[in-house]
Amino acid sequence: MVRTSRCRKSAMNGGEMMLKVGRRLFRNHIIIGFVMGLLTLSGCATQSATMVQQPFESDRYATVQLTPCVNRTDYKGAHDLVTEATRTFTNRVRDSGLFEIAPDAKIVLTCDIERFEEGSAVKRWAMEGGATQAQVVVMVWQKPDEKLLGTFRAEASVKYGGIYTIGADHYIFGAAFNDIVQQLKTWVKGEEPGKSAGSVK
Amino acid sequence: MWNKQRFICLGLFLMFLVSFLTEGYAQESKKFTTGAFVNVNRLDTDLQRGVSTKMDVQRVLGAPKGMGGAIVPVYHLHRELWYYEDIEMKDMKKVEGVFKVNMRQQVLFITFDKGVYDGYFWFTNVSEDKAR
Repeated sequence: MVRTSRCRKSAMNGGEMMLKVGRRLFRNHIIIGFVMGLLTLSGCATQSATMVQQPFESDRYATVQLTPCVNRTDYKGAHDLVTEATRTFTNRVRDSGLFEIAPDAKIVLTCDIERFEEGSAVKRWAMEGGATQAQVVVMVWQKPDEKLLGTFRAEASVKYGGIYTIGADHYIFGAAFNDIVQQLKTWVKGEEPGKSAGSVK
Repeated sequence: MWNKQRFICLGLFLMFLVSFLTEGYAQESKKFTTGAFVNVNRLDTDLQRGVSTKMDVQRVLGAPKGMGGAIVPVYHLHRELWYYEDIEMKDMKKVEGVFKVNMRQQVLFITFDKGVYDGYFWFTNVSEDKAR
């Protein structure tokens, strides 16, 4: 099941950050800062793909263990992908309240970083390309028999936008893992993935 | 009278506005890729036929792009499959109304028998003498 949507909370994080910067710059021009914040909300989109192997069982899957994200990309830039993605992944799962995180839990969530492109706001503005992209996949396993319960993949990207999209490489993992958490929520609730508007089957 | 600070503010605001209005000029890269295979050179060393689990395969190759099943009629076999792809399209151009694309395509199928690794099948669109 594949679903496309605009970035949610992650864009807000970037927006809030820019709003703060805007306010500092223009103390007497709050409206301008607000407009800048709004602009950062646009330009970011996510695409999801869910493969559910087993329905969620609330009594058995309440506690999970998270493994550090594995970098499957050939990225050789300044970002420490493993640390950034693992931290974001852990925070998002913890904040979601869906599961309790415990090191010895029988449910294991593995995380792979499949794609990361730092991109450039200047390139996006002035010439071709420059997209900031992150693709992550989380697989849910049940131990000890290592039964696969579900696969949740998300790609977040900022392909278009002007210089107000500076810093997209810092919040792009947040956008991707927000989408993963949304997919997990759908699975936990037992709903059909991609049921929301704009879904593609 | 406008002071210097107001001019700076207005200038910065106009810069943001122009960047927003001109975003339509940004276009996507002309190279499309699914991403390359990962660690396929470890297939024969890190995975053991009849022993390795799906989680072992995930540790080596990452998450598959697709899952399903296949029947191999000659051998009367039914196997569970994981699908990995490495597809790259570049040098796209339109020549006399025809789209020409340079495409490299590789597909890797991992087969499972009763949930345990049973082997792999690899496909490439590169001719036999160039395939590795």
